[in-house]
Amino acid sequence: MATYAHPVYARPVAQPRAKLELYAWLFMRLSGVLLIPLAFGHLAIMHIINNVHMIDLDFVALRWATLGWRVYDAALLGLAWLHGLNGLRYVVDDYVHHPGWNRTIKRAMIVGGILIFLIGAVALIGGVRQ
Amino acid sequence: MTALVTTLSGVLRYRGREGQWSWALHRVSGLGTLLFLSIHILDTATVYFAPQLYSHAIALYRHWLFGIGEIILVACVIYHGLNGLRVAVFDWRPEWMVYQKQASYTVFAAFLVLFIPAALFMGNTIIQKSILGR
Repeated sequence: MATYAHPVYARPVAQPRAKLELYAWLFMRLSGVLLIPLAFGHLAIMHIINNVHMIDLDFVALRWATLGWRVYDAALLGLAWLHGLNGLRYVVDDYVHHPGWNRTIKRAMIVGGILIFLIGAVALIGGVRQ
Repeated sequence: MTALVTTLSGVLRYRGREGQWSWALHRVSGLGTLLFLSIHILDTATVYFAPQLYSHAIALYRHWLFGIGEIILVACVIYHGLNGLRVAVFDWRPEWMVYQKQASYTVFAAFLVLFIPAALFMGNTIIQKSILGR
């Protein structure tokens, strides 16, 4: 990342990547607006009307037999996960000022984020095994 | 550690009133939702990777303690969604900022309207199923 002499801080600080931050900001608004019906609908259907006492492997298998529900869950997985990780990135930038730790935590987030996304995506495509 | 204490006490002591309360609640509810989401992706993924583990996870989730956690999750998602809409609206129409105080209270009220019935419904499920076992 490029650095520049900051007018206040003595040592050079990382230059904000303006383009990336603009897209991140835009993504948070767009995904946020989409997540309101997606996440509220998911909670209402899977956590309130149906609940953990009704859900089992058969329930998931029956639900995922409909392609539409898999697409719904895929949208929720992708949007919510990226929205949440980017939000965590803002929190890390607010509280972790040590450049080394800041970088290390973000790298761990990228690796862990990709890993958990892939695990979720493979299960969503593979479906219930019984 | 001192930095953490300063940070946390600063959140509570800063006298930003409605805007500050909304900001703090937005952050806490977002982090809470993300924590649950990361667990939830993995537990659901067991239907493919280890189906017998899924049944075990569901059995744990049927405990009343997890039920209360689920009510807290619903609170986090409802608040974060409604407040996020408020943030997005003010980014879209900054001139409406003069009504920011009213907007924060509107979000608090809308949250209660959606959350109270959901919490009562879920609380009833916990009592009926997890505690009485009907």
